[in-house]
Amino acid sequence: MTDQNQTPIATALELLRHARIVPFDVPGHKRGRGNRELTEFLGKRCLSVDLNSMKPLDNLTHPVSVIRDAEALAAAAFGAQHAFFMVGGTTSAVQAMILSTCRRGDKLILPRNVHSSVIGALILCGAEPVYVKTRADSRLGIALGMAVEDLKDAITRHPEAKAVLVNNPTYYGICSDLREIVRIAHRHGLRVLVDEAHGTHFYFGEGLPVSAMAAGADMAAVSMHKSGGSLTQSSLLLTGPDVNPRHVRQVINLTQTTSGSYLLLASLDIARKNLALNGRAVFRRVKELAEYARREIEQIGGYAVFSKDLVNGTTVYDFDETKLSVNTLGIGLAGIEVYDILRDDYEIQVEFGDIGNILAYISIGDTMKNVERLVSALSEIRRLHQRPKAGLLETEYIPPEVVLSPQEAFYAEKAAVPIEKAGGTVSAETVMSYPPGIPILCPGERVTRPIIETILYAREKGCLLTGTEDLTVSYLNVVKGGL
Amino acid sequence: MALWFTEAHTPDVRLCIRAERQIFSAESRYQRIEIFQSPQFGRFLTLDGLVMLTERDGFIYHEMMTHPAFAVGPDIRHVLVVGGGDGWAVHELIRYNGVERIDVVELDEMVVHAARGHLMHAASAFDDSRVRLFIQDGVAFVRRCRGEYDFIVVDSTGPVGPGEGLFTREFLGCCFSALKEDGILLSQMGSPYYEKSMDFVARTFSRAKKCFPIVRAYQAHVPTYPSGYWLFGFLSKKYDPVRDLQAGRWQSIGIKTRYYNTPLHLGAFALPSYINARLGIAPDMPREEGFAPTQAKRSEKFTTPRDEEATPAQEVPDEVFSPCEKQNDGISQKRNEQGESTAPPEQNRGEDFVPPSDEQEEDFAPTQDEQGEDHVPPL
Repeated sequence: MTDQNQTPIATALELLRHARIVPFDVPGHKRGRGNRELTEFLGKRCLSVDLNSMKPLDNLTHPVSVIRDAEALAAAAFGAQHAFFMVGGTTSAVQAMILSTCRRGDKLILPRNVHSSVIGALILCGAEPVYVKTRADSRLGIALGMAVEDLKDAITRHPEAKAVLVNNPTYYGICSDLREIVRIAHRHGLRVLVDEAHGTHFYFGEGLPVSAMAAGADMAAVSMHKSGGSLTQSSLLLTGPDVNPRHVRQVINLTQTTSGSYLLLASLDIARKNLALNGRAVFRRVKELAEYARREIEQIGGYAVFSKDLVNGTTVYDFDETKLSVNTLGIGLAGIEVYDILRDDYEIQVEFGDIGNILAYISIGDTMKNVERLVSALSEIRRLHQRPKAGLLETEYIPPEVVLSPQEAFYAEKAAVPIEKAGGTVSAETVMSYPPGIPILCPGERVTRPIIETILYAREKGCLLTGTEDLTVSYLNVVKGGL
Repeated sequence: MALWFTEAHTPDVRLCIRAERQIFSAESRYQRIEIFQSPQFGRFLTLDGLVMLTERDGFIYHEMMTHPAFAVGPDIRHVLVVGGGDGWAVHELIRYNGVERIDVVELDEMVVHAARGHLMHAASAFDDSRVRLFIQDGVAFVRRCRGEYDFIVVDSTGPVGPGEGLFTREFLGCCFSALKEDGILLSQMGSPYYEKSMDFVARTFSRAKKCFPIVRAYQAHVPTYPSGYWLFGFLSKKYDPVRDLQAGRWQSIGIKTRYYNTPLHLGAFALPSYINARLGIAPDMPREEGFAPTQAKRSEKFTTPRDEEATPAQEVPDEVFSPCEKQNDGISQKRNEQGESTAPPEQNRGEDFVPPSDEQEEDFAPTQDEQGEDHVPPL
């Protein structure tokens, strides 16, 4: 099973579509007949393959036929020992990496700018975070990659650590020296887990930063639905040669649905085929579009566009040139403000806006025409809205003080206090600015004045703040009694 | 053998033109380009199966896309034509001796090639020494210009497909910057009759009002365009097309036109009530007294399109619907009852009579989908 033209899951579904088997099984809509409005909305073809596990379709929790074959094809395409199809998003893939590597009390070395799914995994398994010093670029207001020196320092301080987790690339396209990180970690007996949510294309494009599997990492969580073109919520977990796939499968099955959606699985299957066959050309085109946009936006003036210029050999070892991140502080506007104006006035939706930046996601489905629109809209926004730079916070990265493990803090006796008055307490919950879903505060961390100010500022600027029990983010749950 | 060219103006209305032969046919990077010879309309050019111009009725559209600006703007010297690769708009422009430079920005080189080879006017237009032809995206071109032009002609294909970018707020805003302080922009806006198309017109009109202090719609009849009835936009920084019309001065230039004249100029801005209602234009405006001076005052302090004050006061009468709106609702209702189609009928309806979006590099146009959703008739 090495022919990348094949799509075992999609083919099995196609066969069943024509088989006219009488369905006395779930789903209860029975090929859409039971829910006409939904069928009209999504289309008959779609509903006719929304099926449940059965012998011809294999079973995601225990794959022995078409899912096994499709996973084997994906593993071959990505250069992995094994590939797991995930239907709970890359969140589930990230959590499976940690839950299959760390036990309660184990230490996991990680940067601060991790996705919230990582903190969730720590709460679930009781592992303790050891934060690698995470450096920020104060001009752009973003966290950078993991410097090899900082990793060495963390290993020296915590030689008993079990694994290191790396974001590669970050949301903004910043890459770390993955090969060297793997070399050092393995020399000290640590596993290397890579959150590669934004790096699917690394496996197929040319002239892009090294992928996790190529760098020798043990596990990688890959968001096929981001740059890979599969349906939202479908994802891949890749493992290297020294990982026991049967154990990983057991861990996945702890939390993953037993009714995995075949729409998602088929989309992984078909997207993998497309990447394997056409990925090189596709990402060459994506890179061209991004490069063109980068040049044009630089010419407008005022904006700073992320590029290979950021590369410094340590915290920015490499840069993913398919990413179009634009710092907007130069025109006196927060990223989130530009994000809103783009949508409200120009009918252009970009991926996210944070305090200092916007990220326009350029992908497999983009055209030059739309890139021209984006550039022109940014040019217009500068002309019409530019204002003096004063009054903008330039960075939102604050090094955390970890007092308790996330699990201890999350399950501790709690009290809700107004955020403004939470200074000095230990947080029992997460506060994130979403997107990009990187925690400002995690359970078990000291709440300090700069953190409070960042939260208030992000709230005022209209970032979507999440993670707290209080949906208005006015109150924060803190560990009762203080520490 | 009878060869009939057919263009679906809506799923229920078609225009057929008997063609004697096909003169030219090619598929460019962006669209399918064809030229036919017909007994009624002479040669006609189609892009993706939609009639762009015919030799017989093309004078109406192209005169209305050019001369109204010259009758209002006192001293037009630098002109930008966005689109217009067929050369006819340029043909009208080169008749003015005062025009010193005409920059034409056409996305599709093959349109120019086809027109030069097979359509009247095109060759002479592009050979004029004042004309510079740029083969590139109009949106990108205009973005780089600052205060350069007295007059911009936006001669585009339509709001869906390759010309889509030319109906956006960012493009119109960039045009504002590219114009001099008293600059004028004329753009085709589409047919105001069929509801779906009127929807595009209304959107474009409201975007334009956010970019320019003076935005007025005017009309002409173009037999080969959907519904035979067309709207244009007059976007201006300083001059009002009616108040500032200098009929005598324009007549003294001595340009001989077949459709346009200055009394018609005034009449063209007087729109039917159903269009006024859809565009939010207050009908029966007393132009001589109240309205015009106020607008002039507004335009002076006009700084940014986000300035709420900048948009002229509107009065939208309640309960005014265009007749065709009702008619179309009735049609889709009927289609549903007959159960002809499983796909939502309004989407089918839309796809046919706005220029299609099948630019080669793109399989589906999000805008088109949006339009479809926006336009769901009550069932």
